[in-house]
Amino acid sequence: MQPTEEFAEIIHSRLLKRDDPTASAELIGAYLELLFNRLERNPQFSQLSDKTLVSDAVTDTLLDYAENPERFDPKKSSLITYLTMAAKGDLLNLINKEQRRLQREKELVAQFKANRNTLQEDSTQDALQENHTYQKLMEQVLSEFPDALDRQLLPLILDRERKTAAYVEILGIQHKSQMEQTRIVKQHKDRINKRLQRLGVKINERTTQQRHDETSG
Amino acid sequence: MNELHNSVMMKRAAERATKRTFFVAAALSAYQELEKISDIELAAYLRCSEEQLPKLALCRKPERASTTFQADVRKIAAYAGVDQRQFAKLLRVVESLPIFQTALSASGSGLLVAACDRHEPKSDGDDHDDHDVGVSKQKEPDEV
Repeated sequence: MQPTEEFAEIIHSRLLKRDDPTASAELIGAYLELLFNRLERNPQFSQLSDKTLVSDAVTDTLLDYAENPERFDPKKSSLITYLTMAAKGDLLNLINKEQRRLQREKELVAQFKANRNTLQEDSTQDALQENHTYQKLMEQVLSEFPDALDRQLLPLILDRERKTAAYVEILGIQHKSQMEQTRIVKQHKDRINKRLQRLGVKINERTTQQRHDETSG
Repeated sequence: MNELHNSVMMKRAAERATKRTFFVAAALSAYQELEKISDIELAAYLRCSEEQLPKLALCRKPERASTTFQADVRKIAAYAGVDQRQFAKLLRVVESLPIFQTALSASGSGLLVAACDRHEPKSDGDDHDDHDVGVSKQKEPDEV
């Protein structure tokens, strides 16, 4: 149920006075789901598969407003209109950020695969050497991922598996809500990708050094 | 309203608020980090249920330097249904942590807080045992 205009006026006034420590929690409790539903049903975002982005945008909007209520001018619009507009803006920003992140992830995996191929091509003349080099590369990767769960997730990430369900099964979080599953999977993917990114730099450095040693030796 | 959905969203909002020192969430998170405790253990420490934590987390964090500190703590505790004394203890512990000192210094109130800490009589509040209130001591079967 949408909070009344009277509630909006009172909560805004309480936030402005900064003397009421529970006003922010009451605000968020009253508007969180309402704003989420508004954005989720908006044709502009209804096709969005990752609903956590909607939830995050709505949350950030409410947290921002609770911290800086003076940004809202009641003379210009109603509180719900202001919050909806702000949440839309936040959501568009998050979508752009997520797209850039996915692009970086794509480039990272491509770089990783290119490194692997380079190492393999460098040693095609000798099958044993090739096998050895590949094993060495995988050892480097696995040494960064001692955790058994990470080692199960790693192939999915390297194969750019997009389906959350595949990760959910490995993580054993089928009992959690879809939103929670997406959030947990994203956390794991981000963490592993960061390590891969660091490893990509290390491998690049090592392969460059290796080539240098080969030519100078 | 879908209560389950709303409670998941409130929990998520509380998680996102941990990065903002304006909210109680940041203090709760810092305390959990310090004591290495889970949400369930934190709830036991505050003598409430785990479901009540997001409500508490999304309140504005009372400032110790403020004259309304005690009143704010009382109000929040009553609103979120947590133990007032335990909540006050938690706030005192976390405000001595560097992350909050930095935040307070940035807002210009850090020195004031430090001064309050030095001059605050031990009988004012319940912090005589602030630094030996390890959560493990608080965990009794009827509290969990």
